[in-house]
Amino acid sequence: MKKQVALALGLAVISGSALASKARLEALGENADGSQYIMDGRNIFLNPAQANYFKDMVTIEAGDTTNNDDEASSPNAEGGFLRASGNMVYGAFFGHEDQTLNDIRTNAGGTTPADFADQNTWDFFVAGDAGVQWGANLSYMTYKNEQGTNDVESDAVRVNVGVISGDTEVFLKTSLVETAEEDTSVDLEVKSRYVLGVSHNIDGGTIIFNYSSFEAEESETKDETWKNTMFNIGYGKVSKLNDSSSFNWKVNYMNMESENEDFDATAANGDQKEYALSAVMGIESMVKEWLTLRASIGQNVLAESEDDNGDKSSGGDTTIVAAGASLVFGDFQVDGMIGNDAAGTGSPGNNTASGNGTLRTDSLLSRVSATYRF
Amino acid sequence: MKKILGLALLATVFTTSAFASVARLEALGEDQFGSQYINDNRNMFLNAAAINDHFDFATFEWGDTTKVQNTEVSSATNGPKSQGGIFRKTGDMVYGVYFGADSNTASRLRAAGLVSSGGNVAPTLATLVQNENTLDLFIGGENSWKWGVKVSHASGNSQQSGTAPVTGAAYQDYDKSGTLIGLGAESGNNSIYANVGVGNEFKVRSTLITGGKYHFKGQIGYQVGYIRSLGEGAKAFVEYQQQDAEEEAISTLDETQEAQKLIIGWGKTSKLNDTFTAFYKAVYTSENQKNRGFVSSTEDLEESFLRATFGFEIMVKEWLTLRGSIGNNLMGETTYTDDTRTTTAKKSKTIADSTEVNLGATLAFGDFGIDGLIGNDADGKGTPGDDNGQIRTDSLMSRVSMTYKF
Repeated sequence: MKKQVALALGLAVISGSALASKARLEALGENADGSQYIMDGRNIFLNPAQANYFKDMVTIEAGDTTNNDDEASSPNAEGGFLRASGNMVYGAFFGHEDQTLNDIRTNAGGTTPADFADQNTWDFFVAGDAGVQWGANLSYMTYKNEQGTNDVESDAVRVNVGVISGDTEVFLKTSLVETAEEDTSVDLEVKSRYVLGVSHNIDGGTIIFNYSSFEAEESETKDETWKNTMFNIGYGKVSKLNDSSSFNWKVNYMNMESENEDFDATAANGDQKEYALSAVMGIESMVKEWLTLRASIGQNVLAESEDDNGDKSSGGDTTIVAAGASLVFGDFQVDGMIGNDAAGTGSPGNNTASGNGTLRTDSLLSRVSATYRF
Repeated sequence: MKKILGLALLATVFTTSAFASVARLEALGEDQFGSQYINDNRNMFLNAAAINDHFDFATFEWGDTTKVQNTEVSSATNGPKSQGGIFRKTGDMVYGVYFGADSNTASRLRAAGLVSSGGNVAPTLATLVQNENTLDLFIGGENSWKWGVKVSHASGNSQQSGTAPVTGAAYQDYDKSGTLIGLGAESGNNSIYANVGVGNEFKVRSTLITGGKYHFKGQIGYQVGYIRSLGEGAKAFVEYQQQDAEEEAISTLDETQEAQKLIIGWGKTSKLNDTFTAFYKAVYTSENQKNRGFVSSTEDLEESFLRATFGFEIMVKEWLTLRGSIGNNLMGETTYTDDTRTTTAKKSKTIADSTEVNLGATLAFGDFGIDGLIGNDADGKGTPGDDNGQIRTDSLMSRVSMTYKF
């Protein structure tokens, strides 16, 4: 083992971090499916035009494909590659599931709700540079089971497109097909799904805006509908402190309204409104050629939710510290979160709240990914 | 993997330690909210003027923000709480933003009445008392003297019925808020500080409470102190605290509490060589509590003790600093009156065995430091506090923080 380490350290060469993992983004206080102000390979799932920046890499996220909620505590298996060819970038990913859509699908009812979640998802990417950088992502999945008590069929075809022009980025995500059916039980259709994002770099930072609108209907037993609109507007900045360290921070205002008419049994019926002004800050530092450490803290500075009765709530305590590390072996990198598995039983939480403030060496990293840059 | 980590750490290069963590102070026998005689970034929570001595760093303390008290020992309701922030110097000024520095005092006072006020209230609701989303803003400067100001505010409310963390005790609604202002100044060998709680309120409605409502209201509380440097690393200090509180919803008892604490101490840091520093401290503490139904177990409480602490900190390797301390109450006594309030007879006893050893370590990666306590998780289950004289390599550190110095 000692020889292994010595060899590994000896071979370790600074070549730039791969910067492409769910663990990295979450340790820096961002969503695992991309950031509008921190550069990361995961951003291709927000704006496919970002594939132009992350070409020639392969990445694998360790996890269990049966996890419908892809969180650090329940990671979902996923992975793929991006490859440049001529002026174009092509890519394919397996297992990338849309968490919002998974929530809608699994809350629609059904004998086995998990059957409605994304399964065997394929994502295809194509991107290029024609004066403006552009990219497109087609996501496809289908599932059928006629061997159970009731026949089940689930399909999705999703399209994401995006452009980057100078300091401005725009992307749009929508679903062409989003259905799930179970005989005599569920007939789900996501009737509309739009996610629009715009960001603009200014003064070294990024102004962030995104708007999402979802409308779903379950019509097998009775008319059940769910509508949700949300927008975020914020400002984020990544400041390079020196050759090996950076500081990131973001202030964000979120406003959400939803309408649940018998659709989601786990949520209260009726209208719900919510807003939150949140702040997050983080540090990422390549402390050694082979080791990068990162951490963040964030909380809601102001927040309020209102239920159908008009009763309000500030939403509880939201202060969160997340931490992560990358073990860098030249162009190969292993990312993970740290400090989120107190008992060392391999059942980590989403951040250090589940770690009880402990650093364990037996359960060293969670939400692990491996990334190689060609 | 353990060996990999150990060997990997060996390869790191030490430059400077950030000296900014709860774990470091507790390993040296100090309070997590700052020390009067040990130099540490956490001192800004004691004396806001200390930000002039500690800036250009970001720190992240691992933990769970829903815990009631921020403690080294972990339990279902108490333990390390997540917190952190950044402090930067711009021109002659230092600014700081810090999240999650919840007040243990506020939680303790709010919970004390709730837990034991004559059995009229519901102890299970005590897991609801902690501040939420605490935001601290600092500003400080230096001209002929150093000064600093801190404003800390937290609030939370819910009109939506729910359940308290851990216990699941049901409530109808709650409302809580807390505001603290910290002021500090340093000039030459003299430092003064004042931390004034200008608001501390907690209301909860629940069918678990007789009468249906508990309303804690803290009066203005303050902590004022003076520190005098005596030269050669020695400091003398005095601090006075006053905290008054009352419960306003339950009428069967007066339900008030007044508490005063006086601390007089002397401490010294001696740098014996380039890598080893010794710490000594002797502190006399006198505390009085006048309880009128706020807490049912005692009425008037008087407590005084003299405590001595020895500690050390040694940079054994460029990448590793170890520290430890032992403290003991040399003498002390607690006296309280009969809790029936039918007699004024006093009952006294000496303070129980109080010898305490703490150990800690810093893994230094240049400007990045990972601090923690060690040797306090005997069974390795990640619930620190079960000290049994062991160092484990699986549950390596507890009370962990990450600090980066720009």
